[in-house]
Amino acid sequence: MKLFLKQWGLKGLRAVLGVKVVDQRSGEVVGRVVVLPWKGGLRLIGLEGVALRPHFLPQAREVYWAQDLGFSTYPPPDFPHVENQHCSDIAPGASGGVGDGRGVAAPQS
Amino acid sequence: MAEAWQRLNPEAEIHVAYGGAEGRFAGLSWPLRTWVGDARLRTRDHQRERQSYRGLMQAMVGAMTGRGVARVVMAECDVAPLRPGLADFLNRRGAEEGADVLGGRLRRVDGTSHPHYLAHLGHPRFRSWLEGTVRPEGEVVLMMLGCLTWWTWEAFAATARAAEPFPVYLELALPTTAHHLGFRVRGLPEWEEDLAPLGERGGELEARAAAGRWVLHPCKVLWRQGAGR
Repeated sequence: MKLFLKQWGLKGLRAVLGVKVVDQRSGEVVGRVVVLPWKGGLRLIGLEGVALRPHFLPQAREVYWAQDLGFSTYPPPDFPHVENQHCSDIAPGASGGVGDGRGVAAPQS
Repeated sequence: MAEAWQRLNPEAEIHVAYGGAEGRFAGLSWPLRTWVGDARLRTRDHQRERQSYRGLMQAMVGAMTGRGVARVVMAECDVAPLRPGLADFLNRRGAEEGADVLGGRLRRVDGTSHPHYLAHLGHPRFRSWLEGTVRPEGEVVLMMLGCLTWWTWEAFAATARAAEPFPVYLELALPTTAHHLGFRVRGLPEWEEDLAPLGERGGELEARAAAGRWVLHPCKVLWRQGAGR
């Protein structure tokens, strides 16, 4: 019951007071959040686990009276393999024993 | 459950890692099985209690060492395989990506609003967790679902034994630790809808199988109903 009230309470709050949040990287609308001043900062209500980075947006014309705060997701992680000498004692191909019985080609780093 | 996984993946070695009561473990009939006694596996509020797979992975490294294992697919018991050859498919995807680790819903979360990241950020030893990195960007924190992951043996063993200076929730610990050890971690975007973090999706099994999907998660009552394929 508590969970139900919380979920519907949040939905109602977002519907009435929420503002649209756009992922600045992809252009997609990621949801609606309620923004409240909180302890010298801002409390965002309703993001629900979306991983957004806050950042100030570039200005086409330099102005001093206002700045825009936007939110972006990261692109999908695509970091290369990096050699680590601390793992050199672990067999790179298989767990030791009677050879690589799985019959699968090793990935190309 | 193990029989279904073996039937669908005849080339794979199916090993059951059991985290339940030790008395029940003794009654399991599957020949390859390991009891995992790590209390951090048996959490109720998984996120807030920082459920961990370190103990499980360390136990499995001990069990698999000497068996010639080159790749590891780690699947939770509520993952339903829908087609034959899932292990081979993941091996091919891993090779295509040049990856050492594959997981569902992989994303970068450092500096973001994600609650998992924010909850760990406040720990006084958070920075020391990432200090041993081999990466130029030491602040990267990754997150992925732990329900179905694929590993090279080296990545699995190294991640299992890596130090953890404070309790880290497995969805952060697995990919972030592997990443900072130098392993290439990649996502499975084609499975974004198949691997959901919450709920019960057993009712979708037939439709998803008919649609040619590979897996479905979570299906918590599937094996209890004895409806294994």
